[in-house]
Amino acid sequence: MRIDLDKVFTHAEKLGVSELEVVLQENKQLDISGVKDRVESTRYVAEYYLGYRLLYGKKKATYGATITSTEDALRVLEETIKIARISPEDPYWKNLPRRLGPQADAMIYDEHTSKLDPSEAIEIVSSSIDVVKNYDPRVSPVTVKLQVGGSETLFANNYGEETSRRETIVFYMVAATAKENGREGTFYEYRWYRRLSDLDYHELSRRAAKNALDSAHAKQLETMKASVVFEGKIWASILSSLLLPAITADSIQEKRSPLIGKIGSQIAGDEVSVVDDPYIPWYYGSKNIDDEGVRTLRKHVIRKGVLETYLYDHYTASREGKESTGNAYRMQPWSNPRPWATNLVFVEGDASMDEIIRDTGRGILVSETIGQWLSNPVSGQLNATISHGYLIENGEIKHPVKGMIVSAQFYEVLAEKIRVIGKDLECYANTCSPPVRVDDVTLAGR
Amino acid sequence: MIAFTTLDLGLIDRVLSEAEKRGASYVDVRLQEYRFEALSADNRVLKSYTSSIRRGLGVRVLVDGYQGYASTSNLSWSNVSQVIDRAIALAKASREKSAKIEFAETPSVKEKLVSPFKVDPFTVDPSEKAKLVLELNKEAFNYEGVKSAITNMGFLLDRRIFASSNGSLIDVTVRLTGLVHMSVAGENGRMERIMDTRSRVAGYEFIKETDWRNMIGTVSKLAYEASKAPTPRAGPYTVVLAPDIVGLLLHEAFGHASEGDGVDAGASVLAGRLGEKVASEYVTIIDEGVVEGGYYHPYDDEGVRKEKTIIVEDGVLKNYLTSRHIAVRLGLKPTGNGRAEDYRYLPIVRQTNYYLAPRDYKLEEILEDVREGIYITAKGAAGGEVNPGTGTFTFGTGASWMIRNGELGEMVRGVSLSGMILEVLKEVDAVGRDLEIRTSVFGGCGKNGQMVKVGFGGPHVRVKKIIVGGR
Repeated sequence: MRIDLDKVFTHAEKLGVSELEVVLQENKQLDISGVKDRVESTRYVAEYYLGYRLLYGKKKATYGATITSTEDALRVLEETIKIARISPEDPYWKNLPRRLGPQADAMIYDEHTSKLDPSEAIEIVSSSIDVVKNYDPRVSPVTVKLQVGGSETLFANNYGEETSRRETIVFYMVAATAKENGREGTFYEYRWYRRLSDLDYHELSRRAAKNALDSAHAKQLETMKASVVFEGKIWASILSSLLLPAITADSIQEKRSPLIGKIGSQIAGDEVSVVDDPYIPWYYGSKNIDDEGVRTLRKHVIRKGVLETYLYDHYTASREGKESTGNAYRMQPWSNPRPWATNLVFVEGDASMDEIIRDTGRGILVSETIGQWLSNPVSGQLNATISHGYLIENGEIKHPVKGMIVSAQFYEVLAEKIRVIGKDLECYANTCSPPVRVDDVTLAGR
Repeated sequence: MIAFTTLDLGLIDRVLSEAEKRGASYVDVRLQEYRFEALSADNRVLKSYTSSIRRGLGVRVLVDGYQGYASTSNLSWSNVSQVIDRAIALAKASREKSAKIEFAETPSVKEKLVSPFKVDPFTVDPSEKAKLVLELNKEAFNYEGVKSAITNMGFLLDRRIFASSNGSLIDVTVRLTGLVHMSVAGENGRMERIMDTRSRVAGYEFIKETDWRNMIGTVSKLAYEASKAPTPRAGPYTVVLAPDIVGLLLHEAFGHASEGDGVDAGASVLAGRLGEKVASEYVTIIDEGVVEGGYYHPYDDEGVRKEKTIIVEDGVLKNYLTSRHIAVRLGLKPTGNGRAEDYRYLPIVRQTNYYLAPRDYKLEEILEDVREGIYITAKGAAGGEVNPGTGTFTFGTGASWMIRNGELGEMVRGVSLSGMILEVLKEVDAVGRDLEIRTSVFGGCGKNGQMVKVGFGGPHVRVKKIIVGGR
């Protein structure tokens, strides 16, 4: 589908609009779900979205719609104008970004993934079910989900700038359940990718099966203080809930972050470095232009414990007279942008997981949590409930545990309690981390 | 307002007959228009006024008993015709690896319903809404210690037309209106956030009739108090839950596990337990489509009427929630719980308005036997999560107070609570009389990548033992 953008910009100009940004997105997705022993549903979605950010001076409105034609786009434009005209001024508004387009390439589009044949996707789901089924007679598959999507997003504005981004996304999830001697356990394994060839569904299915079986024997322990070893994906999910919302410039400017005024300060131990890196090939958060069409940049957020920068989109940057760091993010093509990370990476150390466990006297290895997103980025209170973990004693894994709450002050942890940073990154969507051991943590239990 | 000439029934009829002509033995079509408007006032500035209109259509077919689904936002006939082909092709492609799908029989229904409202929020002058949300936001700064405040107003209109080859044509329009406010307060780097929200299946009159200033004042005062409050010691406690958070406990601790798809897949600890005692005798749990304070859900996305479903009666598990397909798998009746986020998705089993039936305790009676415990409210809570197969659930809490010798004591900060599905409701030993059910225009419940609107609630409840995360 093609929209005549010239017509849209000309019409806007005629109606006295001072600035107009257009986002157009074409989105396709194939989605296969398996349940127990069978492929249960197959789904294909095709969507065309339009988003406007429109200004009369400092009066602003954003509007989104699914559209079919240029006429639809013009009708939506007039609706947007009606709202912008009456909106109160935003005193911080300067302008839309004047220069769009990338400075380098980012690998995020894969032709094979984009044009995937449904029968190949069905085969992957069906094979995953077989891997779980064949792992052990006590284990059964619960559900397998494969989502493969491709999209092309165009950003244009009335300054004659236009750029676009083409990308593919893969989401895979496998869940297994185990029953033994009247006890039950379940484990969910899930990952995001940019291309199908990175998905090792055999390995993930085996891991789900093994952990489900372990989880059937999980015990709930009494409340204790101990070391906690977070697997990379789990620590990444905690960073996503606590650190990421605190380093975005809007949280700083609106006074909702504990990191206000901390640029140049030591907020973490020397061994802690965090980068925002949009150029890691085939990572979920990679992109060479952000969601305003502005070029992205690699930068240290924390270097050897010192906070170096917040993340900015064009609006928050111009409020401080700065350049955007290329971190604009839109939840939907029509949402107002806000700053967010590209790939937020907790920089690796050199210990292997085996070494970390061997060096741990008494602790819990955390392999799955629920509710870590309930952590509070304003106060820095970390909360996560362990739905799958293991007790470590004298350097050895003893038995599975579940149902304990990890609580800590996140910034105390960063500054004083991180003992070991391992190697090998794992990602939770766009935050990535190696395994990390934190000492002296309260675990609430029975 | 934008006119959508294409939301017409002619298109539906054409899809139904074309899909049958092309080999489908069963077809259903869901045509939808979804409007959302959100105004956000942030620290005395209207940061965004965002509107959206989405419309689209999804086609579900059975071909020789195999299911396929395709959807699009482009409602031109040439495009819709391709969507039909694609749904049929997917049904055929899954033949080798799939099992046949069977749907429970349901009566053919023709009905058009509109949820009650007085003033359509989408016709209210945008400047009136913008002015009000800004004024309310400024109100927060009249209170001590408030550093940051955000106020969002939201309006939703969701029109769903369901039609199937068995002759059903159901057209339901829901309007949902609400406001959420968060204040951040504190001193010397010790900050805390508290939020509160109200939504109602109603029109703009709900905004006019509600005392938002009172809500915002309470939130702001609590935020400052909470910033100075300690975190409770970690471990098991007796807790008394306020009605605004009981629904969240129930939704996470029991609701998801009672969804029939998980039961069928062997991923629920409630599988095989119909007729068993799973809670104390004080516990009766109901899922109901249309109820005061809840979301408006008279029919599900498979054309099944949502009646009142009793899940637990006096502690005994009576039923699971089902869709048409899951009802057949479990040998039960469809309960009207086959729900989809929108036309892009296939319906899966979801809760509607899930609540705990009231008993006759007064709050003072619930508190009086507690030697040491915590009184917990939702103000500041962000939600919860469950692994229904392992049985572990958790949810966040808001402003809370210690209970000592039957009386409310000092405030403590909100923390996370956790428990095991099969244990926690057996620990309920008092249920109040003050039933309150809520829904939200901003939030929803996520499952398998789909968000749907739900309602939940209950009266005051005492739980003898639950794990509290803390220092």
